[in-house]
Amino acid sequence: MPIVPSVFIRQGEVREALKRAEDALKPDVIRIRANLGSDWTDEPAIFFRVLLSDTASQPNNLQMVAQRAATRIIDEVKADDSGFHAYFNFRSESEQAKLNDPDWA
Amino acid sequence: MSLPDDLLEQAKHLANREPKRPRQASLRRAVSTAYYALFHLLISEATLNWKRAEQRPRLARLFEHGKMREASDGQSRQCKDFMKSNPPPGPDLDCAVQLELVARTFSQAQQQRHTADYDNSKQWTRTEVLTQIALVDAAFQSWHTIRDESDAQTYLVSLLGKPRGHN
Repeated sequence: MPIVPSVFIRQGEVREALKRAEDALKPDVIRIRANLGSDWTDEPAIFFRVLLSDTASQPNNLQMVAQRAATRIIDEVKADDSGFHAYFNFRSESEQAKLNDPDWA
Repeated sequence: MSLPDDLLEQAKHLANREPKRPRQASLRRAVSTAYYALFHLLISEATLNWKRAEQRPRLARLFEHGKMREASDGQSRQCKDFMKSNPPPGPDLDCAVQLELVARTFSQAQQQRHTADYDNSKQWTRTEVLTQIALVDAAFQSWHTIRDESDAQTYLVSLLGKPRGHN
């Protein structure tokens, strides 16, 4: 059973951490959203949704952009110390504009 | 090409199969196939160490998704702890960086595969899928860089599960 650190209890601090990550990752990253849940093994997990600029979403850029973003987000949110598994999904700005998915807004 | 390489190529093909409006079925299968590419890469590398080639397929079937995931999480943690200890630049650090990428990507890809195969409420986009495939592709490249390193070979053995008496 993981110990839930205060950073996850204080949602404001999570938002601040995500904001810091967003600022550091501009202009590739437009915004980051996250929610807590469980993964398929029932382990506690944090799911990050990272909205990328259309330029950053070009296929040749994805690997580098995704790795850089994931590393920065994990560092800012201290996901490694939390006992939560961190998972990432990346979408482009134009994809979100078409889908208008509230979870990514 | 080998089965893992073929699967990775197939994942890329599926992700780009419909240039304008990708079908969810194609995207889901692409995510799943990318996971299986890495799954079979690691298993084939592990079974290569078995001297009797004709028994390797039988040995391969002993590997389980959950145990491989658990081993990968442990390997990722171990590599990160080593990296945090400020080791000097050199082959050990290089290996840890690459091995951590492989292990972390395996866990990520497995979760994505589970969502792609079983959660029909999830709407996939091409960028989500291409990112996943790009990360698996990077894990392939990293693996080929470190495959002969002792820590990499130990990771392969760990994929079978924990030794008896080990909590």
